[in-house]
Amino acid sequence: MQHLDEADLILLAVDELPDGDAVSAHLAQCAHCAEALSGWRAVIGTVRTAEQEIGPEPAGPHVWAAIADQIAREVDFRPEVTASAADLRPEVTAPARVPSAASPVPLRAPERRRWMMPLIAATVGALIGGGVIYATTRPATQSPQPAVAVRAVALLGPVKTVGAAGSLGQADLLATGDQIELRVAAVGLPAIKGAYEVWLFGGDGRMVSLGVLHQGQGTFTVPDGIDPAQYRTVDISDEPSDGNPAHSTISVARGALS
Amino acid sequence: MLDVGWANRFRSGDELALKDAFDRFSGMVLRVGILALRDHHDAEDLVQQVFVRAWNGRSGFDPERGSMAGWLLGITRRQIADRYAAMDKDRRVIAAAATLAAAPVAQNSADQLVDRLDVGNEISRLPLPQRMVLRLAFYDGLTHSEISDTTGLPLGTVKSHIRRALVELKKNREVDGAAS
Repeated sequence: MQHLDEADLILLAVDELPDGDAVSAHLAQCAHCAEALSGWRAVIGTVRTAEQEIGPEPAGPHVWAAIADQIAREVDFRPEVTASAADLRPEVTAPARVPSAASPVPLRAPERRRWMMPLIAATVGALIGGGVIYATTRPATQSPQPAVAVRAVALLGPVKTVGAAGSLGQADLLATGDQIELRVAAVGLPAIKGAYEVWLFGGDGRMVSLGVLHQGQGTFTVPDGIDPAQYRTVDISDEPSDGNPAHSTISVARGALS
Repeated sequence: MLDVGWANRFRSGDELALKDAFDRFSGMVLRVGILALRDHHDAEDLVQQVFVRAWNGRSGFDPERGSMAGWLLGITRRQIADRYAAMDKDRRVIAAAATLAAAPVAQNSADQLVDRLDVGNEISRLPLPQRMVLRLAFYDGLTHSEISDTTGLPLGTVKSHIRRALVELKKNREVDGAAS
């Protein structure tokens, strides 16, 4: 009589039975193989117990930190767009009184996981596309208003960038005399129940409301004390008329100033 | 551990519920990732990606239709497939040629917990792929086919990893038994 081989016995012991009734028939009448099988079952029982003692062995805390950070980025209004579009800014005749802050703010380069790169690449692509359109639709010569300087441009896009992100217009950060203004020209904003409200987001979750946007167009004064170098993200929200001055958390468009 | 109450918390957006799932199942995803991608860092990236996807798609998790482990494994399988698809041919060849033994051993404090169980120490000394497959089978509760499907290892390789690991552990027990 041929005994069961080791591989079959182990498969039996881990409950993934090999094919054939002959195996069970053999086990029923062969004390040798039955004993060998119980030996394997004992080993496996010990292994299961030891594995339970070891526990789940989760991935390291740095992995959880990266997950929590990424989730936070997607819900707490921190700027999602970090790619620089400084090279794409149109030429402007800089008046003598433009403060030194007009120079491009060094963008932080947060560590991005490699798999985020396609998203960033897509964003850069959108910026480049928008930049080209912007450059070609703008008058070749600046209108004679030397006191106004475009200090930064934000190309607005949908917040939930699923698939191709269409352009929703742009916002220009202007230096006019002694104050800073944000000129918004939004197009194709989704229909909403509330009012469109324009916000500037800081890099650490802070935000300031600039006002309500009508017909997609508006120029807003950036309050004193709000440093545009720190508030780099333009956001347009859907604000219900519920008396709550805080951000509704429903954003319909967003763009990074650069 | 992750019961109906947990599922409701998870689906309603409780981040602590996601942390519970991470504590319980990130090891499973990491093990699959190590076996499939053969690089510890890539496997950690995979874990991050899978749990962020799970979070963003949490409304699609239905505890009536399957376990959290199975749901996460489905996400894991798709992510790995996407990675393979994105990998250029050269990298695929390199990955195929890479030896699993080169992957660093996952660091954890669990070793201290198993001192009283010799077999725990013996498990920790097994070659990495054997140890990963053994854990997926006997701790995470995956069938041999599930391990094969998610990691891309041939079914025969999965079975032989388990067999060799068990043979090794049994041999040590018999030596210990004879010596005592």
